[in-house]
Amino acid sequence: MFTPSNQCLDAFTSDRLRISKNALLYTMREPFLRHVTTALGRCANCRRSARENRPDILRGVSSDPGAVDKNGWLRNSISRIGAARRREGSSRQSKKDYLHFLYIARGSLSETQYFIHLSQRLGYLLEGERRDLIGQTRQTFACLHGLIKAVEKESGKFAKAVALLTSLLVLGLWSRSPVVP
Amino acid sequence: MRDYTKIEAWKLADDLTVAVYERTRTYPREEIYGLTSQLRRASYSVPANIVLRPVGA
Repeated sequence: MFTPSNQCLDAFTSDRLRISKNALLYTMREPFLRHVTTALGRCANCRRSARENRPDILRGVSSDPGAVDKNGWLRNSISRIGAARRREGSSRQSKKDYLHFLYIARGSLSETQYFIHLSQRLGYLLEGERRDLIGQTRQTFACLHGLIKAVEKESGKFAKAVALLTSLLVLGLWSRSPVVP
Repeated sequence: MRDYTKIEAWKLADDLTVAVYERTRTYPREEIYGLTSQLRRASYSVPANIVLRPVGA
């Protein structure tokens, strides 16, 4: 995995953006933000690596992170995600938890579909562009559905095994308990 | 954390996010805090939620 240089990290932890280095390192785990962050970095090596990996993101991006992040979206996202990751720690450890987040992803995808539709109705997108994006969302939807079904199946198997063990334990304890007349 | 970049659903969702960002770049200025922001947030929420894969799942 690509790791940005200290010089690049320093550019983001400068006074202008006010992002803590720790929060930034956590953000690097989010793939999209990692690409954006490295693409905005000052270090030539990082910029080159980002350009090679994802040329689409670099288009129209200036070399000054402060100038690009005028609305503070990137800064807010980085701070928020960094703080959230540290808080969560290892709490999301079960398949059930993971399923919960996959359902949220599916909901967000449906939301995206509607916003694309709305954009076309408002004249911001051409019919061809809408068709392309909706096609992409459908493909993602199908793949995500498969992932959800696979995790549900695994989760179901585990739940059944736990239920069986619990019932055997209860039956065992019950048969050993003294009979009340 | 497992390598989420190998999850097919994540790859597609990541591509979708990039496509949405490119398309919304030309949206009018008055939509910056409206539709543009909503659409972008909804789209990057998909890969971000797939990434949160626990160990063993």
